[in-house]
Amino acid sequence: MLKTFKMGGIHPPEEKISSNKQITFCEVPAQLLVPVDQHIGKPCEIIVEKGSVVERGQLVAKSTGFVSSNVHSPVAGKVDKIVKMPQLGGQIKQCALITPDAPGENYAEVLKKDSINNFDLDKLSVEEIRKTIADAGIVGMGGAGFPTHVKLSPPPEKTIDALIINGAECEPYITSDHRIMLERAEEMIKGILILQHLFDGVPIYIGIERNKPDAIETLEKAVKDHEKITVVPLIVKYPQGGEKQLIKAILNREVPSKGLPMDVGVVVQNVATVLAVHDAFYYKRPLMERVVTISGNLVKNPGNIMLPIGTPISYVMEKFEIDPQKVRVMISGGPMMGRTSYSFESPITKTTSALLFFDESRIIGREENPCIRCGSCIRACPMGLAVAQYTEMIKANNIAPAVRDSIMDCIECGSCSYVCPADRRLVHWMRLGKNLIRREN
Amino acid sequence: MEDKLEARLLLMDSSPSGRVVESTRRIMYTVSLTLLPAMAISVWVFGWEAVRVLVLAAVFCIGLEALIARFVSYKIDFLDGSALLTGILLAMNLPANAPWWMILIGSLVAIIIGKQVFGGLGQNIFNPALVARVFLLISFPVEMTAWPKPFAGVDAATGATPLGILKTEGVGALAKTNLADLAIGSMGGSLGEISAIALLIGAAYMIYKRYITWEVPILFIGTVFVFSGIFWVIDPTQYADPMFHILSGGVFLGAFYMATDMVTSPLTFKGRLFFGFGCGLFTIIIRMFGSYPEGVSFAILLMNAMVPLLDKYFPDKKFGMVQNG
Repeated sequence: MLKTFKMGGIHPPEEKISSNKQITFCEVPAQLLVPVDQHIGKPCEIIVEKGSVVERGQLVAKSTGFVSSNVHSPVAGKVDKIVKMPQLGGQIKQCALITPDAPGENYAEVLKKDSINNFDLDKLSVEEIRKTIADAGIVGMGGAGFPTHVKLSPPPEKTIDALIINGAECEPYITSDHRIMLERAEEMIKGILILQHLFDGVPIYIGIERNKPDAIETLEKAVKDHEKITVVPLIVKYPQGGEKQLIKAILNREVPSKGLPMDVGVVVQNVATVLAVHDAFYYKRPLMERVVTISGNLVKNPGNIMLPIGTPISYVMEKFEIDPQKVRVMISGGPMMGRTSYSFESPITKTTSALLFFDESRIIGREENPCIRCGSCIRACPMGLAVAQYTEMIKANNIAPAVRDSIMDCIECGSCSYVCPADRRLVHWMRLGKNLIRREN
Repeated sequence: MEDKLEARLLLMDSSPSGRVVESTRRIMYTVSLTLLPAMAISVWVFGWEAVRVLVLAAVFCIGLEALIARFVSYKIDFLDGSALLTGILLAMNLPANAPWWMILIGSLVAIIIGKQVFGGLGQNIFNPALVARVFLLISFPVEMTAWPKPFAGVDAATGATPLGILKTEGVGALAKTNLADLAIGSMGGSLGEISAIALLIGAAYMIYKRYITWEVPILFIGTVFVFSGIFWVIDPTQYADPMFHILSGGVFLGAFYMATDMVTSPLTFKGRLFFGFGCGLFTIIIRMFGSYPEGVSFAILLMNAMVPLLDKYFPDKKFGMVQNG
């Protein structure tokens, strides 16, 4: 019997139109805007300045604490200046504007030049593995951007007895993880084995929704020599890629309210993150590029492309022949959780899984109508939250103490707003509620 | 880099970027449409008089809301279907020979006292159509209980409802009524009270569309059945049988269309169970021991008042409220 999570969930149109497009490579753009902060946690400290000469893989910004993450230059070049630029998602952050030495070079060639590193996995200590991952600046590439080495360092009182690889990719349109699973399965498995080594050979589950049968097949072939790795096909349901939902679906364990996956002995890693871990060990390559799905109704030839971190969106639009005059809605990430953006000069970051371009037919920003208490939001909520009730309290800035923990449990998946017949911006109000509660604490 | 790229401003909004096609309007009009079978039965039974009541109530309700929309500061979409639905449900609660001024007073009460004084759509505590029905029942008891006899034409003689007969003449007088008549709707009563089967057809579609859930109607009807059954088993000579109780009067209309009103019923699962049970219990108490023959409207209004408490004290199970790991 196929598995899925039980509570709530929705099934938006899948729109995986780029799923059969191989990962392509770009040319090195004329300029790269490498953002200094691309993760959740303490901001980095920038260590290059105007005029600095950088090599590929050289540190641009240094992590300033445990929950922080390094940033490296994907190309050899010169730092033109440090500028503040609008990011995908809206904030304005510092970027290192880097002019590459060899613009126009195919990025596949750049990748080929990276030296292959031979090592004996059994001889690596746990500390060495964590340090390599931390130094490589690897963060959760599914969208959140939480530093991976932190997730891989649970406190000693938490025993980890299962590792889940998140290949659910439940968001509409996005196919970057799907392509990685198809084309880079062997490397993924190698990356997974490194993580397995970290937790004393715990069993590993790769959760994949069954709308990707080819990926399930490929990975099942790839893991047949590894008896502790299991591919788990899942019923298609959004938001299955949410950590708590995925753990519930695969292991039927429920992460307690306010808790983390490690509270139920699980660590979840995204497919792209696992690939980055592989690269960090086998090529000594820090996280400097990622696969991005380019799609949306304005993209004639949707596809999946390997882009260096810092590639400006304008370069992508030129490459995919997207008419900037027609674009009205630009989303980084999927339509459910991704953010709308306003600048074509924003750069790709470690967490940009997709870029979607739409004309005005993508209806957003409709007027809110009164809540008719239909309860659709509550039925759709994968966390079982009484969204309609909470948002009324939040709007009145009168949050009952009893519901605070519940509001903080919101995973902002957007299912409630998606189903709301009155077009209410429920996720938006829930986010506001979270911020109000955080401010009070 | 090139300025022309920034020539047009992009649209931004909080995620998600996309919604279902469902809308308040679509829900309200669909629910109104599901009442078509019941409306058809009422026209079949009561003739053009039923059409007159339905049209007048709908026009009055929408018209009043349109009028109020001109005087209030908040936005009222009087064509969103909610006023239409209130109008139809009000008509369903009136006798076919209700005079026009009574329909107008009913509409005034429903739209103004029942709905807009609370702040309009979604804010009202009580079901507007039921507030109007109870207001009329108390104010004009003669007109509201003089039901035209089925299939009797325009200037028909009026007679009592089966429940009215039960109240005034006792269970022995019920021998003439048979259950099939009750189920199809060939009996005296208000427009929407008469056919259980027609209401079930509409309700089935609403359940399929998930506009209503099964908890409230099943608990409501079930409670009426069980409690009237207990009395019947104790003394069949004094109390009517349970099938009669659920098929007569407003139990079906109340259970499927009044008690399930989204705005005035609980949001939580356990809350809905309790709500349905309460509606059934109060209905039976009023029918058995009250001075009114019918208790459905009073029962639902009483339970409407409890909805905020039910929502608060019977919350749904949330993810992560378990002890494991």
